[in-house]
Amino acid sequence: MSILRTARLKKWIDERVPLEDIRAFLSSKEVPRHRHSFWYYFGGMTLFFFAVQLVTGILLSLYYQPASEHAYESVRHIVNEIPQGWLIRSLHAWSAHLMVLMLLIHMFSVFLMKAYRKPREMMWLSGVVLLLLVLGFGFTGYLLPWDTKSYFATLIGSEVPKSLPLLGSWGVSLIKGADYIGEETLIRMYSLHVIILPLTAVLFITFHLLHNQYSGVSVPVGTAETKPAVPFFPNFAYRDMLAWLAGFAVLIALATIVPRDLGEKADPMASAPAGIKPEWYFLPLYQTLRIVPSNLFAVNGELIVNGAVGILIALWALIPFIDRKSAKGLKSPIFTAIGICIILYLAGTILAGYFT
Amino acid sequence: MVLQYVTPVAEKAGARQSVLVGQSGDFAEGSVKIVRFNREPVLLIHTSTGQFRALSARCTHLGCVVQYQESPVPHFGCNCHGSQFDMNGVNISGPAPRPLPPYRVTLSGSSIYVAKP
Repeated sequence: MSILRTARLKKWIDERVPLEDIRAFLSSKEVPRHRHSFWYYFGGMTLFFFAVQLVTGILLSLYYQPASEHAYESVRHIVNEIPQGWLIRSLHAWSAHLMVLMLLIHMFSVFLMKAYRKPREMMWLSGVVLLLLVLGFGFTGYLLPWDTKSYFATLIGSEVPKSLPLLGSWGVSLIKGADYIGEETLIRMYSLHVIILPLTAVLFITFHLLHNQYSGVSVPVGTAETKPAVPFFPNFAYRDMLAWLAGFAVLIALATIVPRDLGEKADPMASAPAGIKPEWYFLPLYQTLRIVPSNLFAVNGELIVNGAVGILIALWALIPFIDRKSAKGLKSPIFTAIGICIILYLAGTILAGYFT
Repeated sequence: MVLQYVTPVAEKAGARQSVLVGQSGDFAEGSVKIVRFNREPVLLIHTSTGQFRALSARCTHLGCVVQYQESPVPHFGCNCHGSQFDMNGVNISGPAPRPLPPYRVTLSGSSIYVAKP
C-alpha cells in the first residue's frame, strides 16, 4: 500500500517537476580519478560551511539587536541566557574560520592544478568574487558583537582604503556611514552582513556551480587518470557528504572545546588594547602594513600597500588570461612557482603577525 | 540617486567648537587622561610644570586610540600597528605618517575647555 502511495506521489511530482531531468543533468557530470583527486572535496566543504553560516546566522538574527546601545548586551544574552545560544554563536564563528580556510585551500588547489584554464575562465572569475565576498562576510560580521576587539578591528579595517586616491575617503565614509564608527556603521555592517553579501554570494555560488556542472571537472595538465571517472550524482555526492560529516565533526569539536569568547563592551574613548590583532585571514594585510614604512620613496606607505593589494587581486582574477601556456594544455611551471610563493608569503605573514 | 542616498550626511547639529572636559583639580600634575571632544578622543596632558596641553588621541596611521606609556620614557603608543609618538605628539617610530594633531586648551577659572586650533 505504502509502495503504491509512494509511486503515486512520485508520479504526481514527476508530472509537475522534472525530477528525472534534474537527476540526469546532475549525473551527466563525471568526476575524474587521479593522484590529485583529493583536492576536489574542498569546494564542496566551502559550500557546506557556507550553509552552516546561513543556518546559524538566521538563528542568531532571532535575538541579535543591531544598535550600538544593545548589540553587545544582545550577544551576551544569546551566549549566557538563550538555551544553546553559546553553541550557535560558536558554530557561527568557527564555521566562518573553516569556510575561509576551505576556500583558500580550494582556490590554491585550483590554481596549482591550473583548473582555471579554458573553458573555465568565468568560473575562476566568479571564484575570485566569492573570495572577496567571504572576506567581506568576515569583516562586516566582526563589528556586530560590539566588543573592544571588534570595534578596533573595524576601525582599522575601515581606515585602510582611505589612502586610495579619488574614491578612498568616500568609500570609507560609505562603509562607516559617518566620520566615526558608531550606530550608522553598525547598521550598515549588519545590512551588508545579513542581506547584501548573502544575496550576492548565493547568486555567484549558483553561477559557479552551474558552470562547473556544464564544464565538468578539470584534470590537471599532464595528469593521467588512474581509474575510470565516477558520476557526480550520486557517487561523488555521497563522498562529498562524508567529507561534510568529517568537517562538521571538526566544527562541533572546535565550537564546544574552544567556544567563541566575548570581550569587554567597546568604548570608543578608550585606548586600543595591547596585542590587538585582526582575524588570521587578515593578518597578511596587517603584517604588511606593519612592515612597510610610513613613507617609501616619498610615497605614503598605506597607499603603496593598498595599491599593491588592488593590483595583485586584479592580476589574480586575470590569471586564466595571463597564463597562455595552460590555456593550450601545456604545463606552466612559472605560474606554479608564483602560486607557491604567494602561499609561502601568506603563511609567513600569518605566522609573523600571530607570534610577534 | 542611490549614491546620494547611501552617502552619509555630514553631521551638522550637536558638534560643539569648544568643549568643557573637566576641572583642573581632576587632573593631577604629570598625568595624561583621555577626554571626549564631541565624538573624538583627546589626550589631555597636565605637565609637571602645571601646563595643560591637548593632542588628538587618534593614531595618524589608521585611527586607533593611542595609549600613554611611561616606560622606557613617557610616550604615546598605538597598540594596533606599533606607532609611537613623543609627549609633543611627534611620530617617532612605526608606520604613523604624521604627528598627533594638537587641540587648543583654555582655562576659565578652574574649568578646562578643549577646542580645535
